[in-house]
Amino acid sequence: MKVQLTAKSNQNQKLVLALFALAVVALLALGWTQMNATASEPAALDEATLTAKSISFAQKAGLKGMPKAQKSVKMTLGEWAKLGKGGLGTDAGKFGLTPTLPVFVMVMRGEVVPTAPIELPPDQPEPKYIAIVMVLNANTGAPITWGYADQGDKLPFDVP
Amino acid sequence: MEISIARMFWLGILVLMSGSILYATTGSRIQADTLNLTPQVGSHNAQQKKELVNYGARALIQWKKLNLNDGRFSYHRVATIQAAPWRFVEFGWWKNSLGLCSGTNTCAYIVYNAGGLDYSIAIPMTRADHTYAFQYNPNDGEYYFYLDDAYVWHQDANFLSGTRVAAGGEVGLGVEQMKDVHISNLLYIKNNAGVFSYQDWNGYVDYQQDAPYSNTDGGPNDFFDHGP
Repeated sequence: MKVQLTAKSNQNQKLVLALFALAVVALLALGWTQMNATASEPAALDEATLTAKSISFAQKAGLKGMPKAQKSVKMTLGEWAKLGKGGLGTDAGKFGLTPTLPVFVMVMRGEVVPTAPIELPPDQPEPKYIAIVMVLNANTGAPITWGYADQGDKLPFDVP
Repeated sequence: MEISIARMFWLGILVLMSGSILYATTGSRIQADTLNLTPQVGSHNAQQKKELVNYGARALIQWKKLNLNDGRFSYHRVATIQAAPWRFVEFGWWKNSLGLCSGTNTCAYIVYNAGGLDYSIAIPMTRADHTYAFQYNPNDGEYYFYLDDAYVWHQDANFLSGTRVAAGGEVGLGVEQMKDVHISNLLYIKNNAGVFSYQDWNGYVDYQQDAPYSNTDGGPNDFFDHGP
């Protein structure tokens, strides 16, 4: 009888340990899944939302107040890159950047004081920036690329 | 006995939750540990350079849990620069509070000027040490960017070779930490009669140094971006 009780006790201990290990593994797996979640591509956000997000991100990047003029165009990331004489590398997809990814490109005129890093010639005054370009992932609204334009720079497309 | 099983199971959950709470509160203490610095207009640099003809560069930049102290960003990169007319390409690690890293706070960050706008490209990536490299491709005249060994972007930067390689840190307001981010394995690309090869920096001199930030020496091919 005593032997049976000990065996049963050992069995219960193993069960407890197994349940505990299972709980830990389940929590770790949940965390891992959340960290590496690659949800299926959502539908593109509507133009009003993308416009509002573009302005908001532009302000965070240095646009003072609201744009004085603006124009937006929808295209793919590959088309945008090509427009700027660049392109995605063959491994860019590993980082969520693909040539077919829809993007929302918005050019905004206004006073811009960059808040993100830029490399400037040493010992020269910072240029006066007159426009900012924001390129958002049209599905998520997340910024991918942006640019600061000073007075002599040609914008990617005309803005009234 | 069944009560004991339940107790032990919940004890396990309790231990996990306690650990999470401890982790979270410790993290909060670190975040709240602010410095007594006054935000200033304009960015602050701690950069080193080497004046030579080059066709690209490469560096290992080691990730740190640094504090932005309610500032904007802490950026650590390697660059190829053509001094006149002004052109550059650079690539590095960027932590920011601006929400500009595709929904996360840290990313790999390409910046270039091809004679027009100053453009930036944010590439989401994991928190880890990464190698950042870019090299001129004589076949199409563009710079190719590599995050570790992953080929992520190519860009016509409207210049062939740089006259300077530079590397180092930059912060947005002067309150952010650089926290001795280590930039090492510094290489540049040399063109010897059409044969492009990586060369050690083998030394460097001060470039832009804005107090309270500076660089501290590591060796001929590495240094630290030092700041409070």
